[in-house]
Amino acid sequence: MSDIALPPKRREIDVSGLPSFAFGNRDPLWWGVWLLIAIEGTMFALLVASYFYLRASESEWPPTGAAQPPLWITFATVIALLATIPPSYYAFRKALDGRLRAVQIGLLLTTILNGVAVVTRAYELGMIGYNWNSHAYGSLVWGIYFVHTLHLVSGLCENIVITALLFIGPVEKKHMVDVRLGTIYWWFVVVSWVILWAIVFGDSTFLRNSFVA
Amino acid sequence: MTDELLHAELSRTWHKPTGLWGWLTDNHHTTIGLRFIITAFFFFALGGVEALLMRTQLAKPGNTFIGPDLYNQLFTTHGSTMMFLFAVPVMEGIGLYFVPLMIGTRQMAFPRLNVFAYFSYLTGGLLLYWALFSNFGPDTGWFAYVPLSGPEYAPGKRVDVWAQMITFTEMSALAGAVNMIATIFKNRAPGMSLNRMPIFVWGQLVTAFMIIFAMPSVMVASSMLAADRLVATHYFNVAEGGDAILWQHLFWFFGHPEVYIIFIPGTAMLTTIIVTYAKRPVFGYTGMVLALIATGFVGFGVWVHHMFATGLPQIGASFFTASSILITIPTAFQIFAWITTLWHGKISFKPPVGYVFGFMFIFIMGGLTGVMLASVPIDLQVHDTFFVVAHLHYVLIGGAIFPLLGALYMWYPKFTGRLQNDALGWTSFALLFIGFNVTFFPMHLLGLLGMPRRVYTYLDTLGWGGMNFVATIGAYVMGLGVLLYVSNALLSLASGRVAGNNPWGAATLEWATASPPPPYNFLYLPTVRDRYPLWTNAPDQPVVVGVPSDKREILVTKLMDAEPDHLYETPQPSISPFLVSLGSAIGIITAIFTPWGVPLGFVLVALAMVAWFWPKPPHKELLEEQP
Repeated sequence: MSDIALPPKRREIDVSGLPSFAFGNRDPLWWGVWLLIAIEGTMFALLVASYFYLRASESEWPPTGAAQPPLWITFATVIALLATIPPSYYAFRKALDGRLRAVQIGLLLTTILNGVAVVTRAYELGMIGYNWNSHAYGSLVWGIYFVHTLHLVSGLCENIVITALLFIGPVEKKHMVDVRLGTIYWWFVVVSWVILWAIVFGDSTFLRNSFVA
Repeated sequence: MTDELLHAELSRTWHKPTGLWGWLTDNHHTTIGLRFIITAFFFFALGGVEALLMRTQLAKPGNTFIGPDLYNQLFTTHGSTMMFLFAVPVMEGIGLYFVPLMIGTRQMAFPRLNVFAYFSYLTGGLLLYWALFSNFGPDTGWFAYVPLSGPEYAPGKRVDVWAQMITFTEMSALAGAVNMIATIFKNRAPGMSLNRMPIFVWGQLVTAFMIIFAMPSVMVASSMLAADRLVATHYFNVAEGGDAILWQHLFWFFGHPEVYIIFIPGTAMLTTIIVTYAKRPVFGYTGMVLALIATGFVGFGVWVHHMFATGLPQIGASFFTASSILITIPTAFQIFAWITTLWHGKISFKPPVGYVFGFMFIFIMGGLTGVMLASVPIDLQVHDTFFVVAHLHYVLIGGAIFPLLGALYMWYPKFTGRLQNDALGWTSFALLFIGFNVTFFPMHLLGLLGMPRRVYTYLDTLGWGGMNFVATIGAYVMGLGVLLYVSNALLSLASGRVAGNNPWGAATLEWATASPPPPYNFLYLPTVRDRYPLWTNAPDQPVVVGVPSDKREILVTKLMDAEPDHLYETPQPSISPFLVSLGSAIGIITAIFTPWGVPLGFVLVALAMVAWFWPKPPHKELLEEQP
């Protein structure tokens, strides 16, 4: 039983009229998603830190004979990922007003482009001219690819599930919160790759063997 | 609705499932919190037995009680257990149990995530002990330095078990931290603005943020190590462009914050004990909070002081000396604030107060040897000797275990509804305090005499036998103290005096409800108007009404000032979090033996996650035609 000593006539705050969900930082799950992004962003940052730590003590970087995948295929993935931003932003905006049809279209396009990025990523991986056990550089690049590809594929699973849910239903208004949170997480997957890609391929294209030990 | 009806309906809604199914599915924060605490103490006992075995082996020179291989496994498992399977989870468990009560809500923000966190943790612990009992326990130290732990010098699967134990426990800690932050930010009672939160809650908040940014580092490091061992990557292989020191950077970038992840909840408990038994508000609340936050930040800037012996550039080393000494400022502020609070309070001398004074003595000693070790020349002299062993046990046992034991004694009536026997409580405290100092004080001297850590025996002619013997006696006295502490807790379960809601006259909201708390925590969600609600709330302090009692709904409030914002339905018990942890366990344990464990785990987890998140059909009544 309750145990705050209750005087016979207590004052009350009635909250029964409050809504049953909220968007943005009013929502506990919004914090959950951003904290997840903080955790995974820290992981990416530590991979990058390890990359530069090992780079600093090498005399050749990348090592001679480490053939990078052709830039066009890496561009293809980046473009497919960036192309998801307009439709996912459309879904993100329309979710606020609960416009189901618009959200369905936005997410369907996002999911298709996400699938395209997974395919180009597979080609990309096949065209890397060295292995994770060739040298420490190979370990780092494959490590970065591995962790990001896990995100890319989980992103695809998540996008498929949310999109399927919106088509199958029953859709409640509170699912629009999930749409927006899924989109935020997806943008993290996109943005983190653009940064990682710029570091790995910017380094090997423009800074080859500069600033080495 | 009358109070009786409300009680009946809330009891039905928040009913705790029982039996094996209930054990796998129940997501009450009190259930999971208590389970974390009990499991952690189970591992604490195992770690303690390992310590006693090691002390027995070291009691006399040239002893043959334990051979070198088993000794290596014992010190590795002891360290890993105490850090990963005891200290972090027990602090987390207490947070899970008490934070929702202290902030006046009914549930954590993500109840199912708690279930996942618990089973991940349990699997990691069982994995480690399965390996130890099968005589292939990890044997390269709790920090598994490469190249010793690399594929060349540590063949077999011992180190892989260690690396995957890390994966399990860090997943668990990260899940708990996310949950803790969201809960503290969004579920506080109306009126509990950030600057009215109990210090204990602040401690849990700072700790959770530290976990978020520190634990990924050890996960990255242990995954790289596992990859080096399993698929021949070269992250730490110097011959192919890797670097062994990279391991130490990644490990200690986690490892030093880890110390504060254990210590900050400890200090926050200490504040709680002092306020409760000195019966006055803490001196310098704002400063105390800032001290916790400052410790959290500075804690990330000191890791290299574990690496002074690796030959780093001196300018870098002096920076880390400075930052390590800097940490004394917030700590000293807290110590003076505690003394001031005690000085001006009316202390009721219960056993937890003993632990407060024990902390003062032991932790300050450990802090002083810490200042010594922060200085490079001294560190180089005593590196890898028993001096460091003495220092770290003074800091961790003094700074975390003493506050923990005191706090558990204080909160015992809330867990069980009963009081413990004070005489037994004081006796076990005395045994622990004396035993601790008898064990660890001689280690300072042994270290200065040059006795190295992590060797299973030593020669008679070195003259270390006497002090080692004394230390071993002390260890057994400590063991007796722990045994007595636990017996007191177990005996009082049945025979302790009935405690009532608030036996100590404490100020925070966990004491405003029954002991043990009902499954719904509070019949009416409370409101507060300052930091010590049970001391200062108005006689007609408002309560919250209108939270639906037929669904597991909780009130979400605003981040800064905790104004009511919306209602949020928390999930029913469900098997899916257990299935997710089962799927990840199958994948991770398979990955000890073959890289195919990774895709296997991925698929299993993905399937279980879909089951977890696929929404249940909306409530039936919504579908039915309304009259």
